[in-house]
Amino acid sequence: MTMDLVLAETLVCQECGRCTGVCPVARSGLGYSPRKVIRQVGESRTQSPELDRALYSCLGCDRCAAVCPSGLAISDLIVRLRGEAAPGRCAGTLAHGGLLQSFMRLMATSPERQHRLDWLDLSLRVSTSGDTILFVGCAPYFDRVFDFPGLRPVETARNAVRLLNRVGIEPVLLDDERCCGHDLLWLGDTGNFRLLAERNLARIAATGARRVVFSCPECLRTFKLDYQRRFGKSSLELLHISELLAQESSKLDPGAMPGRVTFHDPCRLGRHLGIYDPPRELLRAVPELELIEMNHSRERATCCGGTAWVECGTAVKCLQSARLAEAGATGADRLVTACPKCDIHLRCALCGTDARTGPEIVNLIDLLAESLGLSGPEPLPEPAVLARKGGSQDA
Amino acid sequence: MSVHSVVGTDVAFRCNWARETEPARHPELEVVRVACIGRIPAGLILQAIERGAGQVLVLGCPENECRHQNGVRLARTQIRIVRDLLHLLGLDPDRVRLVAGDESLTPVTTAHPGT
Repeated sequence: MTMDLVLAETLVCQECGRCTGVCPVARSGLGYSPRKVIRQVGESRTQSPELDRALYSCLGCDRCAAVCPSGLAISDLIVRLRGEAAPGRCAGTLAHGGLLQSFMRLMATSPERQHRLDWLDLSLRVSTSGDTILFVGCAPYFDRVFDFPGLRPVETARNAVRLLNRVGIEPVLLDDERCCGHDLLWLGDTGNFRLLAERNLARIAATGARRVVFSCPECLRTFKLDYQRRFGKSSLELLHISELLAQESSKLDPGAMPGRVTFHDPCRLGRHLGIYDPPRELLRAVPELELIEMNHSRERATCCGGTAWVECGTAVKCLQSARLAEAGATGADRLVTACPKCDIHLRCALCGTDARTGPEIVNLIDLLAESLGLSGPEPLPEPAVLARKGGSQDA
Repeated sequence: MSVHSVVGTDVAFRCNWARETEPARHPELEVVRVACIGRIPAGLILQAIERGAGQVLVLGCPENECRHQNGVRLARTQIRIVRDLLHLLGLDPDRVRLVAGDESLTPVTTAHPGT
């Protein structure tokens, strides 16, 4: 994709401003506007520090694309501009000192065999060859980096295996799976993205599996859209775990779980891939569990505020606080999400901002495992709830 | 803060207030003096490894002598994260070490294949 083509794409913009009207980052009033980005690009003003900065403010949540009357895929355009405007350099501020991008790049380039399956235990039935691969994603890495109360990415991965076991699937886990490359791609690092994709695709092809199940919507999006766009169509069946479990729901027999929940649609699962119903079907199948929708749900859902671990600033914190407040206003005890990153970002917001009135955050996988009595020996901790009740919020 | 190319050398982040111990004087060590080792994020340490540093040492004072009270404790948390990530990546966690006090470290510079 050359810059000329990017410029030509912007000519379809009718300057209606709907994109900026719905953009959660623009709403913070800090000056970012997708409409302005399009105009700057259209006027060939692609080499300005202001634009460089603006490019990294976009969350890629695709609220804008959903309302654009010209069907302009703005986030897609922004990703390409990131890759072209400043090759090898990121004008945005990386969160966590660049730690996450660093281990992702190391996964792309390091020849060493990882120790990424240390979390498996004997109670989990997995196989070395078979039909179905469970793509675990970066959960083992996130487990080491983040210690937000109640967050246990590795336990979520165990629960994913337990749920698949329950529906009669012994998934293949890849001991040398690599990051899918979503975050590096969205930062414009196409070189390392390609390395990761090639390694994953070669590794998966070697197993002969015909289906890959994902617990992370970002990995699924990357495989389904970005890999296929760049490396050609694949015959693999690619599914989010909620889709598979909804298909096999007759084999699940969830126990009663009195309470009220609300569901946060991850951008990649919802607007990017159109998967709205399977998670809801699974929640509705749990006896005595009431699902209450937030005002911004399904196609209108707001973002958790984090994409590719960049530009986590005031705008992001504002929208996270608003999201937690919205979830709290439904009267739900629990905010369920189906994405490990939403899980991390919303918990971070709960700890790091004054939005401490939100419901407890839980990954759909963990909630289902709990309802089926499949959770591990450790009880699911509820420190967020304790912090709210105890009032000791300054720690 | 940024890490320049460090291929083939070892890197040390050294507390400005720490006594100059034997490791910090090693001629093949790229020493970066910092105001407090508690300010070195895990990301910076891992990026030093990513860019080819053989080892990364974080040199501080004995914990109870920390001028900023909890610098060593904060550094330990960050180093633990990096060491865990190195293990996951299949790399040697011992390439990143905290040296707080007078621990003798010989040899400081060793060859690391496959960096």
